[in-house]
Amino acid sequence: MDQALKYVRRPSSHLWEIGLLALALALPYMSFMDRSRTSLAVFAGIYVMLGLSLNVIVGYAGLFQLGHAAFFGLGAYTAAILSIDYGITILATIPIAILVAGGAAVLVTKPILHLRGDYLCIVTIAFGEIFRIAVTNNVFGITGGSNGLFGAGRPEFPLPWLEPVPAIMLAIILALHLLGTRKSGPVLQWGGAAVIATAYYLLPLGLDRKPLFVVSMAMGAVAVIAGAVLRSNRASARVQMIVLVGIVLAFALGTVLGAETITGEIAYSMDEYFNVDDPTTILGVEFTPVAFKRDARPYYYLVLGFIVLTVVGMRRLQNSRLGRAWLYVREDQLAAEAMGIDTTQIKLIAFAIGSAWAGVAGVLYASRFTVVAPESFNFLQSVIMFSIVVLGGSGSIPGVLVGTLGMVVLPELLRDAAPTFMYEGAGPVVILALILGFYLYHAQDRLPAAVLESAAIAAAFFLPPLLLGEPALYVVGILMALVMLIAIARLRRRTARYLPWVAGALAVYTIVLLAAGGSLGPDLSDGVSGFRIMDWRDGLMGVAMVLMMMLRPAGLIPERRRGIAPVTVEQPSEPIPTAARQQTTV
Amino acid sequence: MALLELRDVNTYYGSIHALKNVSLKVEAGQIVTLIGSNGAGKTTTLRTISGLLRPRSGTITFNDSPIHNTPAHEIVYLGLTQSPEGRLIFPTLTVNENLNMGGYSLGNDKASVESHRQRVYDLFPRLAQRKKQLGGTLSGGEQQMLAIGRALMANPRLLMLDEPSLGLAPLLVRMIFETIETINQQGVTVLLVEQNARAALRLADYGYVLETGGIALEGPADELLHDQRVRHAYLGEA
Amino acid sequence: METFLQQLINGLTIGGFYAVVALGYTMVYGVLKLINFAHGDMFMWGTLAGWGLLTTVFAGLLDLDLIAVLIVAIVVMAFIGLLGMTIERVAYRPLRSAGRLSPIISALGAAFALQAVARNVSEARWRTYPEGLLKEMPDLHLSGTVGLSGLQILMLGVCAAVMIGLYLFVQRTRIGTAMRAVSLDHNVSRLMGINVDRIISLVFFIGPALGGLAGVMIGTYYGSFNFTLGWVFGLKAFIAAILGGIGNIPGAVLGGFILGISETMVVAYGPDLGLVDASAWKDAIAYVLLIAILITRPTGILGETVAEKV
Repeated sequence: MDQALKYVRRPSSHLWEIGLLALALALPYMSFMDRSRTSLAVFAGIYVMLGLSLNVIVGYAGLFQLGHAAFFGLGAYTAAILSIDYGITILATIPIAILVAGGAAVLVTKPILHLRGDYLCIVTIAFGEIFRIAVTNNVFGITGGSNGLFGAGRPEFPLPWLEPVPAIMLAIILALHLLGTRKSGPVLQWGGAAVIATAYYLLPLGLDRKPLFVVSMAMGAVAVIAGAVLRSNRASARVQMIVLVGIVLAFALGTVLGAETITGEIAYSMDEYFNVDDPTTILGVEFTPVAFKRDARPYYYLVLGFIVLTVVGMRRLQNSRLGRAWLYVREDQLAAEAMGIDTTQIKLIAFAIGSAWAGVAGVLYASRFTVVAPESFNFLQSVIMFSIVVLGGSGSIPGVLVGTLGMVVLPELLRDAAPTFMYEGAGPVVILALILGFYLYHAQDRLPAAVLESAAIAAAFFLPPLLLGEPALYVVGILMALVMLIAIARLRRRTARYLPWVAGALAVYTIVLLAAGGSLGPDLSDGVSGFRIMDWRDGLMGVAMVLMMMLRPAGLIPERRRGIAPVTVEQPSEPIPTAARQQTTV
Repeated sequence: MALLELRDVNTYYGSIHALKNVSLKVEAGQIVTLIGSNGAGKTTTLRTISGLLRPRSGTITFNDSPIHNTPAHEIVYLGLTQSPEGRLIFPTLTVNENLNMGGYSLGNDKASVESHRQRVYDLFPRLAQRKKQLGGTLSGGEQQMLAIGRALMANPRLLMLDEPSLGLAPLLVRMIFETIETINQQGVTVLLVEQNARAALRLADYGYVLETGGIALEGPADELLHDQRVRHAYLGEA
Repeated sequence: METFLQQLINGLTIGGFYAVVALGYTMVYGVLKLINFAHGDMFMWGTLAGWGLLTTVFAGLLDLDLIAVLIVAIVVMAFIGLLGMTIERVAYRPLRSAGRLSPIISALGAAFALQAVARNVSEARWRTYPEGLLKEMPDLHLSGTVGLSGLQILMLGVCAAVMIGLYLFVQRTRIGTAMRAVSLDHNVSRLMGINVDRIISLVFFIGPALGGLAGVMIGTYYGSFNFTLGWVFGLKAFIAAILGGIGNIPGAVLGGFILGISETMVVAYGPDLGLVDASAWKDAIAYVLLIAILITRPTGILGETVAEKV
């Protein structure tokens, strides 16, 4: 019923996405982004690409793939070998990486595609492990054994600072617009393109001292957002145009007149990020060779660009003929076959595309870290990629973003978190308030019982460390609290209604904890009696995976079901799930 | 008091309303039949009674006790068993093992299992010849016998049969229906779901007609057999 | 020839371990059609718990090492069995109608959690069972240098007893038949009066309990272990179960022995055949075997070729 409404209210603009993109563009310059967090963002971005690529196989085509890391690794090793041994500039290896990873996927999956679900699952694990063992054993003598390969090149490319540039940029940007946001009006497209192109044109003005690279990007984004907002408010084309031209002029004027003052605050020199060489002339056009340095920010934008490209591509893929074929194969293979779809072929294409794109992510990885070693492509990585897709919601693009936050970003942030915060300083108050708050909010009708219950949960949380005099045992506390909660929920047969709230409380608390960075309590990150949160990271991740699946089996942001709906009134193969059964008793 | 009674039962598959206010009674000792076309909700009714599905509202009482919240496996112990549609015997278990599973609720009482098995073999001598054969290797008719026999093993007071004639040759259908009558004469109440409306109504004492999830018509079987609407819609007569 | 026989005996012993662990995978797969990724780590918990008991509580009883190991094995089996039941209740039962992707994630999550606990308990170090455990038992000399150590005899004996016992239990008893019924069709089993949840709980007791037993045996046999044991060994045991045909007890046993013997043989004869660093490639054998067999026989060696119900 809900679903039907959603179909009617198709969003008419891409406001959300553009906003998210603007946020992403500005992210590296936000105050809480230090060097290591930017680096983490690049790492996470590579995993977003991996999640999106795996999503083709798992989400769109409904196949199992628990060995995706192997294709990621193939891409990375291809790039590293070509770059180190043959001196090919690393971004130029992308087509080769696509061929190698995609070709390998076709070769190895072709004989096994007829296998049923779980067999396919285990065979993909086998391929992943064989890959890892092979590169660890320095197969063909080119993979460097268990230490891996060192010294892969960083991205480098020639930048032309010449007259034809704005025209080229316009063409590229226009093409991108046509590809991605067909629904945005022509004014928006031209306006956005003009802003970005102007900014790019103005860039050389401050090149030697203050590059306006990032600023111009942000300005372009501002223009695009402004356009989108106007459009969604149904402003006339003339108004839109005026606003956009205004933004362009203001930006251009500001840049020319006050380049120094505007950019004084973020005074980075180009040299900080790039190795800039002397210009060379190719076909009469002057190019300035530029190469990345260690700093993460250029990588961030590189990866972001690839993500945008991937998202646009994936969305088009999903809505294409091929995407519909995948949908049919996923929902009902027999029916798909009956409709004349070559299911084997279709599945093979899914593996090929997904794996090839994982290879691209591999190239980016190699160029970022310059070291490529077997342990980065082991089974755990495959599991993380698989979990990104399933936790976020199989088949859903926003789901991959959320899944990456949960599986990659959060665990890394936990590294800095101080465990004792849970029991000292403001920690206990925060968590108690959260539990109580969520709980009471949801149980207004039964206040006394709810107070008692939340007190019991809180007691379960605090008692273990208090009794044992060991603040480091907070993990036990969390587990005890959850057990108590489940027990209460069982007792009242309302698991489904209460669990999300307390899980929500714990999640909010974790975020508060991470944001505070442990500064509210004494810094004991080196551990109390040998306890370190890092040791428990995988365990917490595991518990979170189990809990997530209990609460939202279809993932956090499930794919919006399109096309075919189940019309047959056939029995579900399983009896009614407990949640539905409870409705008869309540 | 009726042996089995459904009152205003509503069952859903997700958001699909499959049973709409179904009320029916099965008196002890009778054969009651539930007829209707494909998708009318016959199987859903049986699955709701046997506990595989939960009604969202309404009550089901068996032998004076409510069973709409009782788990399926406990309902068997109360004396209510079902032979499911499509037979669904255990293909990789032998005939004997299939029957033993039917008598699972008898517990470890070997003698009682043995005597019930004997009763089934008396009803279906062909099964006795195939004791050690795997269920999946039986013919369709034999599988149906096994399915009915299996449901009889628990010594039910009420036996529910879902389309026992499905996919069987006419001769076999007649044989199965005769056996149902025999079983009924041995004191087992029968609730029979059938698409073969004529045969079912001839056999039954009382009948219900299901249409799109609700009871459209009910009455003594011979009256239904002569009812214009039934004749027109289900007996293929003009 | 002598080396060959000796390697065969060694391979059989290792294969026996694989087989006992594989039984747990295969039983769970049978009733739930679920790859219980946590099984390997439960098995590793068995090794860990055995080590914990033998080095602390039972340290004084080591003079009577056979009795000590026996008692420890029984305690560990009960403990791991209960652990298995708990994991089923918490991580799998709520997801029974949730499709095929979610239980895999849940299983992997449970595996991570178990592994993290084990890593912290063992402080991420290699741990050793008490020196000289069960080393005093009489060896059996067959001919020349070929023979079985007393420990190998005991291990093979226990493995055989477990496999035969389980097979008889599943084939001959009422509960065992009910397990087979449940693995065929949950709903029809319910209509027979079988409490499906209870049968599944039982399977989740027996499987992990056997895993725990294998854990103690491996700890005793190899003497040292670390927390990653469950992952590597467990995955290979699962592959053994698939090789033989999953859901099928004789299949798991066959697969276990095939895998154990292949691994030993490749390591022993690989260098002669030009594979220089055969032991480094040992872990890949299982995967290669798996792929080779599944390409030719998609449901394993003893697997039924019955088409799956759609």
